[in-house]
Amino acid sequence: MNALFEALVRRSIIDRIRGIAGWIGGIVAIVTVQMSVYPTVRDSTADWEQATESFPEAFREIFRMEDYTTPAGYLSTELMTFVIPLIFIGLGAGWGARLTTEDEESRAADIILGLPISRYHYFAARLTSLIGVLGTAALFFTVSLVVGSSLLDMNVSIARMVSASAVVLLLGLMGAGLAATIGAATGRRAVALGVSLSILIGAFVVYSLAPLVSLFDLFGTVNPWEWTLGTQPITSGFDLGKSALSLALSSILFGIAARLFSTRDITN
Amino acid sequence: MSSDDVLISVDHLTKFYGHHRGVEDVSFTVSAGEVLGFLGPNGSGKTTVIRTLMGLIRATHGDVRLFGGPATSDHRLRKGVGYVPGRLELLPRMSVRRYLMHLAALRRRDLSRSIDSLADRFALDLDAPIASLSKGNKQKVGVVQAVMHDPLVLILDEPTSGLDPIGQRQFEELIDEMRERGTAVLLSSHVMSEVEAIADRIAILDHGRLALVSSMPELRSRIERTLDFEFDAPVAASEFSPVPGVSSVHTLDNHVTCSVVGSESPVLAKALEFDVRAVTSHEPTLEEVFIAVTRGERVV
Repeated sequence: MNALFEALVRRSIIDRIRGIAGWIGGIVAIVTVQMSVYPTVRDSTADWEQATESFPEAFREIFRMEDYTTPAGYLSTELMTFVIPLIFIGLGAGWGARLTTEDEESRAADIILGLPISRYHYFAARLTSLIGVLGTAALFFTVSLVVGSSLLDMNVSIARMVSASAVVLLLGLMGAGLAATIGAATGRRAVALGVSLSILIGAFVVYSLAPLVSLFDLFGTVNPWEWTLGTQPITSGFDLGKSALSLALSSILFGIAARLFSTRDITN
Repeated sequence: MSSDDVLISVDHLTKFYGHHRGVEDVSFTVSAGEVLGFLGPNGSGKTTVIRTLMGLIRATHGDVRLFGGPATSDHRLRKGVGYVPGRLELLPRMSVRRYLMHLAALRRRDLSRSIDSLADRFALDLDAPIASLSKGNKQKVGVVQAVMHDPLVLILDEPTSGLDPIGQRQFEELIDEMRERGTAVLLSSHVMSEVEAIADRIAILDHGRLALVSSMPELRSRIERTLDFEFDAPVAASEFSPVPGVSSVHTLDNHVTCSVVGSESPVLAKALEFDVRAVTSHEPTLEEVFIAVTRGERVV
C-alpha cells in the first residue's frame, strides 16, 4: 500500500473508530444475548416445538421457524432472519453513503481533492476502508458465533457459521454499493442513506413476505435478499452461485459510483 | 514574457450550472513570477474559474491549463500547485500538526521542516486541535497547507479572510517572496489594498464575464482621473475643453480641474502654455477602479 493510499485509509478509519467499535460491540452483544437464550430452548424442545406449532403459519414462514429447536435452526431464525442482516445493511449503507459525500459535505474536499490525487484513487482508498470495516464486523460476528457455539455445545459446523458471516458481509457490501452510488450521484449523504435504506428495506419486506404473497414470490429470483439470506447459509451452507451474483451486483454498483464521482462537479 | 513562462492559462472558459451561467468566455494567463489580482463582485464567477482550475468542477466549454497541461483531467499537475479555497474547511477532529502531516502524506512528501518553519512564521500552535482554532488561525492553516510544498503555482480564493493585520502583512510578505522565486499567483480577494499592494496585473470579472485584464499603471491610465492646475491668473475652461482625453472642465478662481481619460500628455502640454503654479493629480485607487468597472463607468 503506498503512502497516499495508506494515509487516506487510515484517516477514514481513525476518524470513525468509536462508531466502528460501537457497531461491532453491538453485533457481539446481540449474538451473545441470543445465544445465551439457546440452552432454554434446547432444554425444553418439546414445549418450544408445541409453541412454534401454535404460531400462525404465516408467522412461521416469515421468520423461517421450521427447525427452530435445532442449533442451526435457532441461530438461523434468531440471528439471520432479521437483526444481524439489517445491522450489516445499516453499517454498509452508512459507510457507503459517506464514501464520497463526507468530505464533500463538510467542504474539506476542496483541499483534499485539490491535491495531486485522482478521484478514482480517493474512491478506492475509501472503499478499502469500507471493506475493512465490514470485514472486521463480519470477523467479529464469526468469532462470536464460533465461540458461543463451542461454549454451548451447539455442534454447528464452522463452515456454516463462516457462510453466515460471508452472507451478511455480502449484504453489507450491497447496501454500501447502493448508498455509495446514490451518494456519488447526488453528493448528499442524507439522500444516499435515506433512499438506499428505503430500497433495501422495501426489498427485504418483499423477500420476507414472498412465502405469503404470490406476487412477491415472482420477484424472488431478482431480489438480492433472496440471493443472500434466501440461501439459508447456517442450515443449508454457502451458495457460491448466488453469492457470486450478489458480489457482482455490489461490484457493478461500486463501479458506477466511482465513475459518477470521478466525472461530477464537487459541490461547494 | 514567453509562452513557456505561462503557468496558468484559462482559454475561453464557459461554465453553466444547468441553465444558470457561472462564467462565460473567460480568458487570461498568469506567468511565472507574476501575481494576478482576480477581482469581481460576489457571484461574478471568480470561484467557478478557480475551482475549474483545481479540477473540482468541469468546464462546459473552453480550456483550463496548469503548466501547459489539462488542469481538469490530469491530477498530477496539481503536484506543483498550492490552493486556498474560498470556503475553507479543515478536518476538525485533527490537530494542526496531524492535519498538515496528513496533507503532506497525501502529497507523498516529508514536509515536517517546512511545516515547523511556517508555523513559526505565522505563530501557529501545531498541537492545537483544529476545532479550537479561531477563524483567523484556521485561515493561517489554510495558507500554510497551500505553500508548505513550495508550489510553482498558487491559487488563492480570499486567502486573508479573517486574518488580523499582522497576519495579512505576513501573508503579503510571503507572496512577495514566492513571486521572487518565480511562483505564479492567482489571487482572488475583496481586500483591495492587499491586491493593490501585491498584484502585478488585475483581472476584473463581472456578471460571469471578464470585464478587463490590465496592469495597475495601465489600468490607472485607462480610468477617469482628475488633474487640478493652479495658475498665476484665471484661465478659461474653453482652453481645456477641446484637449483630447479631457471629459470635463471646472474652473474656480485661478484653479482649473480637468477630468481626464487616457494619456495626460495633451492636457499637461496645454497647461504649460500658461503660467502653472501647482499641479495636483488624483490617482484612482483600485477600489475606485473596481467600482467604476463593475458599474460600467468610463474605462477606455
